Amino acid sequence: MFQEVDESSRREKCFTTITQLPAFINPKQVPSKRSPFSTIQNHAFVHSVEVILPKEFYSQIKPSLETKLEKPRYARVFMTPSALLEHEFFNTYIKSGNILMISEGRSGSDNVFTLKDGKEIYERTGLTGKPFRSGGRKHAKERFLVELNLRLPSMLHGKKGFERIVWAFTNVLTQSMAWLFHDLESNPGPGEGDHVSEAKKGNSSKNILKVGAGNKPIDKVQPQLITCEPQEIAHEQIITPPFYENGKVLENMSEDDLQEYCGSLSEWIAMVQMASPRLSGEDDVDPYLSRYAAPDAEEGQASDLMSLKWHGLISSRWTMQLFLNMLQNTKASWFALAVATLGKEAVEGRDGFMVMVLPSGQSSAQSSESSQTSQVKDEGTVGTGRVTFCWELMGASVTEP
Amino acid sequence: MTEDTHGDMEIDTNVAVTEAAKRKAPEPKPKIIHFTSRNPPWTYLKLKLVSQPGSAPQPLDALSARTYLSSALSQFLGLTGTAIPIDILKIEDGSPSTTKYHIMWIRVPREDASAVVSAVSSWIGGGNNSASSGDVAWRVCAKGNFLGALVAGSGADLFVP
Repeated sequence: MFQEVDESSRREKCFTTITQLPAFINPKQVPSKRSPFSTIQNHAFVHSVEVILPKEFYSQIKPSLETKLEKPRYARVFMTPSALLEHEFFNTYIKSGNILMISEGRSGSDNVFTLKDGKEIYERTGLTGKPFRSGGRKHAKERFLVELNLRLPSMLHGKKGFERIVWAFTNVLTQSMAWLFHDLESNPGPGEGDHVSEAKKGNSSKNILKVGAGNKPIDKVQPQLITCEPQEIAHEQIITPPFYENGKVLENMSEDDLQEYCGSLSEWIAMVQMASPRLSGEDDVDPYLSRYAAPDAEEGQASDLMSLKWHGLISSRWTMQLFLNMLQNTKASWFALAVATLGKEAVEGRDGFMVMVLPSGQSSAQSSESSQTSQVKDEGTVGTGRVTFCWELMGASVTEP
Repeated sequence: MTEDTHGDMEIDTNVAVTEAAKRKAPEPKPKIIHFTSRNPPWTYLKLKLVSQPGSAPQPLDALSARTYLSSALSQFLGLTGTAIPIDILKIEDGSPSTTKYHIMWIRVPREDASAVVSAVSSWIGGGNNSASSGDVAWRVCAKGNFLGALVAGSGADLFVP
């Protein structure tokens, strides 16, 4: 109605991919170049992971999730950037280890530091025209993105380039800030094992906090060790679209219809996450207040759903394990995985992604065009693949939690 | 990295379909449909109703929230403003100390979103009865064209001990 220019709206995008998963997936060798596996791997810093599935299947997968899946653990520390470069920390975690680390602050206005694969990236606002230290820097919307590869052989104490970073960290970026830390190579050692057992005694719905007192370099900066406990949320009588027929329907959809359908499906998943009363079968809201309708609501039926939510610094590796575990244990059921990222990268603002996997045995996508793909079907590789939707979202603006 | 895999392909489906039809190759590659949406039908907003400090807390229900919204829209845009269709997706009205206090999730047509944002952010309204409640205003907490990107929040709470 009002055609105003909306810059932020134009930057928003959603990449949708519909594909079929391979019938067999080797957990040791996931097809990481293919959607949705590639999407899962591309999101390194994640703050929330949520799984939604029908309640009747939840009891089936619960034991496996509890035994086979380690709880995500991370630490919250307060330190200055210069502490990163101190000998022990630097040598253990950056030169030889593999850690994920991210600092507080909003990308776009504050300085945000992230450490991934030993690479340090940071952005700094308002420094245009000021002399600033070197490094592969890239001008992006009046901000600087500085990437430093601290793993280069030249990055050693005493070398010129390195001392420059040390100088910057000791003279300019001296503020102590909150960091989240995750050691990708940690095996639950004896010390950490204690934390876990203690965690189980505590409140099961809340993440557990403990002040670390081991002898790893991270322990010297008084970390708060946190174990993520999943939060179980039951959604009762949710109007659920009829997924079973989808494979067939998708084949015959036009491009526009398909886009619209995928859009409303992702909206529906988000509505479940939000626990919106509009999805309840008993909702009788006046059309003046809301005219939302679930996709294919007239054919869908109300069913009980369950969602499991982890909130904390979570690595893509853990998300992948969760996804594989879900794939293995939910052959007859659909499930959705929704992931939200932390510390959006300065330019691209990646918000997260959603994956929806339909039940297996859904070869209807094939059978509707069986004349063409019968050969393929005989090989048995495609026919049993589960239809998967994957939405990658970017560009939204969230200012408050 | 996403850019690499997705490129700027707006419509990729056609390619995939014709490919499958043309060559009846025994290649067991699953079909991949791929598209980018930039202009979805809706924009989602997470609004927070802030009231003057010291005023008596009032529960937020859908009808009064809608009244506040209509008031903001008619003040800013006149009669046309009230014609903007708004769907209230959820009202979160927890205790005042939590982050889920006086929160409303709405969805509006994408073309109208910037008008709605301007209208609600420039509006200050009186309470239902001016004797017991002070002024109220809307604050925009989150805005996006895809609801999935908003529901989980920014994750900034993780940094707070």
